[in-house]
Amino acid sequence: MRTLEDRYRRLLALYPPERRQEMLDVLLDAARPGQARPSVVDTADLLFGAVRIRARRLVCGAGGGTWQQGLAIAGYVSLVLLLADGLRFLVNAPYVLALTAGDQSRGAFEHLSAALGTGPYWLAWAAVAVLVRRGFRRTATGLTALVLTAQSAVLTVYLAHGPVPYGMPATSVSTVPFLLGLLCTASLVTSPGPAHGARLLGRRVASAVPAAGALLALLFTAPSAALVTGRMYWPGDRYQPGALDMFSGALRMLQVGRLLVVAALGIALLAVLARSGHGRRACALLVLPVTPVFATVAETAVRGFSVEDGPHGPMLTAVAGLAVALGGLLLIELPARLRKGAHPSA
Amino acid sequence: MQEPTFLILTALADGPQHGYGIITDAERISGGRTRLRAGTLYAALDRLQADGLIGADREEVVDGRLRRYYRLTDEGAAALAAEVDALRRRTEAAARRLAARPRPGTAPA
Repeated sequence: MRTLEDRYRRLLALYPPERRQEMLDVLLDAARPGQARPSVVDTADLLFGAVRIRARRLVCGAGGGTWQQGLAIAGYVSLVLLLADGLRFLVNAPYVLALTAGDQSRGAFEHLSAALGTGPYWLAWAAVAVLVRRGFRRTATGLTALVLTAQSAVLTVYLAHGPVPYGMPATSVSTVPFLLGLLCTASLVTSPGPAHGARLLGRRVASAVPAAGALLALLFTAPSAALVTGRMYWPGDRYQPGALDMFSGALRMLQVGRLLVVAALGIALLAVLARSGHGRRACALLVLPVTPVFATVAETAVRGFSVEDGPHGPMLTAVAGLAVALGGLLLIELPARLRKGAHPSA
Repeated sequence: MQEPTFLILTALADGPQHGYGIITDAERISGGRTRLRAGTLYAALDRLQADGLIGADREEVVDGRLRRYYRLTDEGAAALAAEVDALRRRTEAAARRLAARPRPGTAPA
């Protein structure tokens, strides 16, 4: 004769194995004394619950599957790098403004737009970070979608028809920051989000990422350029013809140093993330925004210069980089998959 | 936020609890109006865990029965706080409108 426990076990067979025993004990705790079979309502509820769990896992993976967790981590790193880039903008802004202030060849709007035009962009990402930190994930997702849409629209019009307000600043954030923004948005939409990514990394690593980002950003600023030129431009210095070129030249001279720091930080991050499946997936996803940087550096090393003719080239490079990274990940994990296939019980 | 989610997060705001503990606490919180059933509870727990709003705390075996404890994460606490804020605003708006409504007998004929 079947007992209540047997009847519950038959229903719970529809659930993922790791839930069954726990649920059975809860159901038996909640059962009425002398109850011999599940009520119709309980049966319907258990069937419906099983369908919901199975359907969600089918679409999103179990318990925030490995890819989702990888995307959560990549989203966190992307958001931190966007904030770091905003820090670079903030440090450089007064210098760029001072260096170009006396340039009579530009109108006031053009001058301000070129020097500070990306300000609202960085401000929006700072707002996204605050919203993520405070748990307003849906609002943060809306804001990231708005930023990416506005950025794409301005850029499309600018590239197709020429001058448009904020067109020039939009090109300066059209590759790496755009790809970082894309990863961050994907993380908010299809994974537990960047805040969860930070938790997966653990307190030590999660707090080391902003420090590394800040260090990287500061290497791209006027004070670090001053280390090379030996001449510090202060906000308020008078404009001198060629000063901006000298400033840009100094930043280019820092390229080798930067590349070493980027490589060192990248290897450190890889060493930490490669230990887990979700970490390896985060690394593969982060190849997307990183590829255009290395492609530009490689092009400069080979040809002595790099050609910047819009975001399309770097985007294709980024997608190619991601495809290679995903292929590499598949090859790395293939032996483990084959072993698992040979011993399904393992 | 759906009612089961709100009740589960509120139950866990007090500290880690196991499945049956959440069911009894949720019933208390709702003033006896809502009793979560196992299927509803675990579908919600599975989703909340995947979203990072709750996490596994510890496991115990009491009288031969497995008790897995769940805890509220910081993100879960933030989500609950946002929902409480939204509910408070709605309640206040409803109370204001009800207070401004003419009472029966005082309405113009």
